[in-house]
Amino acid sequence: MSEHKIYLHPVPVRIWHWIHALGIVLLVLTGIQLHFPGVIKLFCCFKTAVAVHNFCGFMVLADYILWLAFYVFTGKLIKIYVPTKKDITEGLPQQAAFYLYKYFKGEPPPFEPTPDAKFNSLQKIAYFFIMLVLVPIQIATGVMLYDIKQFKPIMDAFGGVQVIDAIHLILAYCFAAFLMVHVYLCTLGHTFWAHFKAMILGYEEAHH
Amino acid sequence: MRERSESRTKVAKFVIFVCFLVIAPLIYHLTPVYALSNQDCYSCHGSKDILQMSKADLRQMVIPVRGVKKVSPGVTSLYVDPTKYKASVHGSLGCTDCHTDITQVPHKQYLAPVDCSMCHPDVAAQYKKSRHFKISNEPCWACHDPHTEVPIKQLSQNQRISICLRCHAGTPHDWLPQPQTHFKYLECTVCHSPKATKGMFLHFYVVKDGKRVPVTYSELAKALDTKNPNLFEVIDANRNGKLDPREIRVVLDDLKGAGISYCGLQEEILVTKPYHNFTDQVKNIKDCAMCHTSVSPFYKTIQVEIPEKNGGYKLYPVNRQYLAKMPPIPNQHAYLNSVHAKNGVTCLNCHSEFKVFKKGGKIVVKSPGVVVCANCHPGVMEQYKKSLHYRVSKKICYNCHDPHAVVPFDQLTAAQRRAICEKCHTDALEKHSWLPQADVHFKYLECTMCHSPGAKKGIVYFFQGVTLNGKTVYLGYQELAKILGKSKVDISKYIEKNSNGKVSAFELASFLKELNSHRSKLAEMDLKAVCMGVRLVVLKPVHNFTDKGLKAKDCTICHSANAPFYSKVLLEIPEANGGIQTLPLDRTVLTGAHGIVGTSDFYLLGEHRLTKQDLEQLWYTIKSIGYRWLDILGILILLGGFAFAGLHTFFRILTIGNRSKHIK
Repeated sequence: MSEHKIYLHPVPVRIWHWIHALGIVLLVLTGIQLHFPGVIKLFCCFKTAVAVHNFCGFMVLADYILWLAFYVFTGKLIKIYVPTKKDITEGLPQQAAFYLYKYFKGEPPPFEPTPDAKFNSLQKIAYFFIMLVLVPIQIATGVMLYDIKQFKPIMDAFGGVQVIDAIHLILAYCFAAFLMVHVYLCTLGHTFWAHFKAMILGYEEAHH
Repeated sequence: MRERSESRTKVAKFVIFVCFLVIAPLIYHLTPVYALSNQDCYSCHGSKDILQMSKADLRQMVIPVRGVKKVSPGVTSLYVDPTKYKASVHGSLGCTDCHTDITQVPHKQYLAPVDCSMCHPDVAAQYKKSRHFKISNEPCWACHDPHTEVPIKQLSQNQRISICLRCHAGTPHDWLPQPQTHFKYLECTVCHSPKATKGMFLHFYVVKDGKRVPVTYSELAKALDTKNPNLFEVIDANRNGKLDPREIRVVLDDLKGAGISYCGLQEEILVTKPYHNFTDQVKNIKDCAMCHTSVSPFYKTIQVEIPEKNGGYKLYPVNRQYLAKMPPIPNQHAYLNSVHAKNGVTCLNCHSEFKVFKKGGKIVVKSPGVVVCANCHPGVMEQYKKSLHYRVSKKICYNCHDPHAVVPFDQLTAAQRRAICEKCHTDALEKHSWLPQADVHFKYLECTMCHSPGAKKGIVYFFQGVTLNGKTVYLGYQELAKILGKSKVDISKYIEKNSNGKVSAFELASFLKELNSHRSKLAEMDLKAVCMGVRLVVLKPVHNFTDKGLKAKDCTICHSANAPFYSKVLLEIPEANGGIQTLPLDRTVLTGAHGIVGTSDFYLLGEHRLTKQDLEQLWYTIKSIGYRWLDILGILILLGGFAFAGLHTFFRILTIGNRSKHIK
């Protein structure tokens, strides 16, 4: 059994990830305060929370553009993020079976990441939806709520502020929940900290 | 010579006189003293011949006495029946125990009056103080014959009355309402001896030659088909040592079964311990309230006379339930509190044929006439006359309701309402053996809830406290105000905060919560907590009870969504003036989980069924929550994420060995 390192996460991706992470965490925390005004008080006052939320929102928007540009220009977007038919019919059940059953039996993971294919099927499907569907929707609704007067016609087309806010809220819950699962699954590397280290240093240690 | 003979005669007379003075007492004292037996007395007084003898003959039989005042013989006679005397209360005494001045036979013509107070000092003292004595100056034996006197318990009502009637025959009682009824059931001293101890005594009678006579042992034993010398053992079927209303019914049925068609139970109010100062309270005698109260003196003792083989009878206690069967006795105090008095109804409004007139400055009332309830309650009468209850039983209004004490219907407790029916239907619980959970039904329901299908019904909630030993007590205005720490409070306004005229389950639950928060006040009143009591009540009775008799066994009258009492759910709120106010209460108190303590055991089978209305309400509630659902959904999503991570970690720790093995 030999041990070697795979360079999984290039520098731009790592920078993007941690800016995104900070942004999402702050957005969730300020979002909680905005949603339960007067009940939950995490940042000094409502006004501050709004300011932080707006700032982080645009930060995440800029970050998202960085991410999208990187993958578009490197041409890896489709390869890494778009699930194939095989991912759905074979990879997904295998990976689900691994997490729910085989992992406990001590069996090795069914998928080893490579720089060109760093996501297993489950990750692929999840990140595809999150990065290419949910995050854009969340950013779009967030931007619209940032300037209601400006975007009123668009919002009205979707049913008004209430509907846009409802979408923004339910997606926020989804992101918060995803955040928990995401962090947890990161501990399922071959050591507890393996995936965390990889996201900081770029290299994933792998067994063969 | 003549002088000498005269002086001799004088001397001789003197000597005889001295001899008489000296010798006579000497002879008297030297005469052997022998006790006179009753037989010695009976030799003259034990034969009726003595009554036929002339005065001269009688005088020859005694030592004549001059100048002694004759004592009134009263009811005594020279003839003493030895058998009667032996059986009398004095039978064990010798004649000379009372007639102490008789030492020899023949005795003196006139005897000193017997001093009854030797044995009966209390009675004598009572009597000496009485107006009866002061005015008449009659001795004891003017009323009681000491030679035949039997214990008072053995005297029949007529025998007792006859004692007074010897002198007071024909005394008019014109002022007394229903004098015949009073004379039928009472002896004189029930009223005329206020301090005497009284009791109610019953006996089974049979009608012979148009007269009611107590049933004899042989008649009763034959009817009961028994040879047991103690008939009460046979009658007392449930062995509780008392005669119960049901057992009375059985005895009367048995008597009728034995061919005695005219029989019944006679009540008498008799004195058990006389008090001989009859008239010291003469002014009070005409106070009807002496007896006509709920605490009538004679209610303390209720006994039945059961005949014995030897011709006498023995007394046994009667179950007090019997009182409930008695026709109501007008009672002044109760009447003033009755619904009739409160609505200004006077005696004459109902007793229209009362004859009231003035006689010697006094108001005199004579026999009341026919009572007609229908004059004021035509609707009720019309309903009732149609009912099977009337057609079969022929009972009329006041067989159930005492018009002299009846309170408004809504002020009667469930138990009081049921008591009206249980006067006659004493075996109600046994007759309802077909009813599932009969005791639970009896706890919450009054009879007419099922037996008066047309009556308006409702569910009434009321406040009650839980005592330290777990019992519940009704809380009135004073109690609630005390718990709230206020001397004056409009409780209905206090509860019903939004003043929409209806108490919501939330308002009631909040009020209960507040009451229970006053811990120290509750502790002062020895209460643990305040909770709600609940009962199903008839709000407006319909007197056609049994026209749908068969339908009374139809459970779905109540156990259905359309049960009549669901139309009114009320909260009973006590008021400062002692009355109560009822406010409509939100129906959800019945099925909602509001924590309204005390209603947990009040549940109607089938009440929790889901209805179309509930679904509509549910859909309405879902819609009214609206966008707030997003938070609920969001929290569920978060919980889902958390649960996944948590469960996975749990199994991860459990299976940690599996993975380390694999790595090795």
